[in-house]
Amino acid sequence: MLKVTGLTKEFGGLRAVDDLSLEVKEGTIVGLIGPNGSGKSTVFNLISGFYRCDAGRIEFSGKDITGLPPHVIARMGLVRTFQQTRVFPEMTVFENLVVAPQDNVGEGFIDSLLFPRAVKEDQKKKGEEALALLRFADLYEKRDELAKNLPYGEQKRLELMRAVMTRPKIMLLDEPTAGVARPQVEKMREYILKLKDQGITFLIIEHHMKFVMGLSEWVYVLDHGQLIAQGTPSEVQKNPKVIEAYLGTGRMAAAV
Amino acid sequence: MIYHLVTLIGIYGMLAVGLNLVVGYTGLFSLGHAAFFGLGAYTSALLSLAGAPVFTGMLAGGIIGALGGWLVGYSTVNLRGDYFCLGTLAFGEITRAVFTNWIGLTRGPMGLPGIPRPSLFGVPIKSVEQYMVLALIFLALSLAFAERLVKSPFGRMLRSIREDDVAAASLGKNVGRTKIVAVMAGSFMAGVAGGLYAHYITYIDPMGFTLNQSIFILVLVVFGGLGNNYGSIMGAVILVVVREGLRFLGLPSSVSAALQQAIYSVLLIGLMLVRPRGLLGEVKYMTRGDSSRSLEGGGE
Amino acid sequence: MDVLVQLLINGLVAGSIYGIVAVGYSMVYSILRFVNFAHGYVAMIGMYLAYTFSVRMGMNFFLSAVSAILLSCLLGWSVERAAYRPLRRSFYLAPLITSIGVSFLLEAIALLVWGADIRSYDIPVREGLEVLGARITMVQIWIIAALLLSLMVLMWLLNRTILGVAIRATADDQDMARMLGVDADSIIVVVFLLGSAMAAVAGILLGLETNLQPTMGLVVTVKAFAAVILGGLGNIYGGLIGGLLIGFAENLGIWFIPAVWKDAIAYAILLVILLVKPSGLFGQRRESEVKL
Ligand SMILES: Nc1ncnc2c1ncn2[C@@H]1O[C@H](COP(=O)(O)OP(=O)(O)O)[C@@H](O)[C@H]1O
Ligand SMILES: [Mg+2]
Repeated sequence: MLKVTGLTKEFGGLRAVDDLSLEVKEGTIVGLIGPNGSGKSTVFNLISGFYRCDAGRIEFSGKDITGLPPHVIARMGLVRTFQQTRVFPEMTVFENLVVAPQDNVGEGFIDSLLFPRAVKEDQKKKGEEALALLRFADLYEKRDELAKNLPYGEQKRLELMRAVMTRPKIMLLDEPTAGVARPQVEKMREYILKLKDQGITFLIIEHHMKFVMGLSEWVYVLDHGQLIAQGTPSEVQKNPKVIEAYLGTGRMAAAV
Repeated sequence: MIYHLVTLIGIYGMLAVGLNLVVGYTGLFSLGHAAFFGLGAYTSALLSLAGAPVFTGMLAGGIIGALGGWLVGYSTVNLRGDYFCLGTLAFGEITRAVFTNWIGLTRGPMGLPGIPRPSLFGVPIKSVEQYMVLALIFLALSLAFAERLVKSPFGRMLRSIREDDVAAASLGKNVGRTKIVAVMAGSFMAGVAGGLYAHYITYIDPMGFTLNQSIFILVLVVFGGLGNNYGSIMGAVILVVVREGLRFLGLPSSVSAALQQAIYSVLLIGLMLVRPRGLLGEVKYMTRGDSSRSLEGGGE
Repeated sequence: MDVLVQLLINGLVAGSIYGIVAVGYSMVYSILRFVNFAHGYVAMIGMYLAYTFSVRMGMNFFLSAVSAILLSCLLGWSVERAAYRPLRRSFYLAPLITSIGVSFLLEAIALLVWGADIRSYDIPVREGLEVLGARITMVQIWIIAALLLSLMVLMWLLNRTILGVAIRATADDQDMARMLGVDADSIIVVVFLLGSAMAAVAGILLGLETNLQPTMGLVVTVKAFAAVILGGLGNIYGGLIGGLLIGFAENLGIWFIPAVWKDAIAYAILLVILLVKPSGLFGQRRESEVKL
């Protein structure tokens, strides 16, 4: 479903991503791990079109999406979240969700002015959808609060659900549990599994090793922008290169 | 006198409502609104002097204004916010240079005199009272247009872009196009207001469309509250009255212009320090979760 | 030929002045990350202060200039203190709006104190040098010397002193610098003092080269900003080169088009850069500038 070949990105001489190839099959959950600064977020920015790659090719659903602008890629069904959560702070939780769908009637300049009836009907439908999702995500009680007033863990969850509102085919989650309290991590895991059952494919960056290992069917390991290992979680965990990469930065202990 | 004031308020209110769409709702900081105002004024004046009906001229003024907005928007909207600010400033200064130096077309600093007043259904609009009604109708139409727009899903998308354009793009919103549309809508209104102004005063020259004018319009918007159309109109009411009032203090014109400028700048600085969201604050167009309809609340 | 050389010299002189302001501008920008619109207006006030001291009060011109520069530093510092610092946690448009307010307040003050009439320093025109048939005046030589001097001082400060290291660290990463024990607030003060001093130097030189008008504030702000963008935001010396290029472009431009369009040239350059290469000639393309 998503296929990346030879992806390379330099920042002023620093190779943040170096000749990376990876593949995500439809209906799976794939992990992307690596020490801090190894280039994981950069990979996401490249795939989702926010950065332009220096070399390589990105295919999604059989189409070449290399170099397309972010909104076009998102409209094809590839939607990402951010490591530093980016909710719309001065909008309510509910609004954060209803603003997201890509087929909202009335977001065009003309139809917003001319077709109030159609807009209203569509909004009613989207509103119900959003409320159902908020119940699912245990955010229903907070629906009328401004997003900026939610605790960080709930903002992460809100951001995830906002992306779900766009009805994506594949979601790229950048550290969905970073800064999230323990009990909520378990919840996040449940949400992701349930969404997977609804047919969404996932590529997940994680720092929290146990979390990805438990979820993913396949894991890619990145270090200094290069792919150093891939395999099932148990294979990867035993790989000496991976252990070294994490030990080298002294992060294995924190990560496991 | 009062009719004259109200007419001016109608014109400036329209300018402020249009600018509010750009600055208040889309979060793009424009220093060139007077340029679109001027484009509309000159277009409408020149067309009607060439014999076109006045209302056709005003419409054309709006369209030319919107084209100017497209030009600035296209070149700067995808860049950092400060760049949009400078792009609009540069555009404003260039249009003013054109008004001043393209003497063959605009008569330069001598200005264009004898711009005709409009007539509606064959009835000429001659008196100030009549023109005031016309200006108020235009203002009401602009307000209705802007309110409709900002309360629609389009307006909600504008706000999401203002809050975080990267996040909006990640969801599939065409951020660049939406910003340009917002800028064009704002400059269309400015262009029409320009026509309204030109046919009211019946004389225009480049001095009416300076950076100071752009700043004045900006102050109207910031004063009433960014993201609040009624605030913009309130800003226009208060500050136009203050401005015209200053003219009656009998100060020499050089002093009164500087004094006026000092007052606005102190207002602007003070407002940012004390009440950065303006007097009325932003209208909360929160969509309620349980009723799914837009509610208007008070300020902050 | 003579005319062309003359235009080149004038371009060099004007460009040097824009360059000095632009360097201060990028410095303030790199620390505070907002466009300090008022920067050019500080230059304009410095220009008039020197006028008051030298012409109205009859002081020696050099002393007047130094006093004007010191007072401009004080002005820059008070503006930062009174108007910008309280806004550091305010909403994102607040500093920009405030700096515009400050600019127009400074212009209004200049209009009220010194009036809108064009003034000039009473410096006797002395014979200059003949260069390839064109004349470079004594004042122009001063201007270029002053530019070189301020640049040398600035480079020494930034590259050879602990203060410079702290400034550059703060520009790179404010939080990191804070963790390393650099007091960001004092660095900001220093940068404002330095930037205002350079603005005042440029203002006075501009007053020498042309004459004094309250509208100079806007002219300097916009040209310096165009210089900064042309050179590449965040690259201090890029601003200098940008300034020189704009100076040349304006002065050579009137070789081709009527002189009344001179000011519009800088604005047009600004728009064209924004359209074609918004990262400037020497700037890194920032990834956030990818088209959304
Ligand atoms: N926009 C950027 N400009 C310059 N360098 C960047 C940028 N984004 C990331 N980098 C650099 O690329 C490297 C990889 O960063 P990142 O992808 O964020 O790593 P990770 O997500 O694995 O922690 C880091 O060294 C980082 O400093
Ligand atoms: Mg990361």
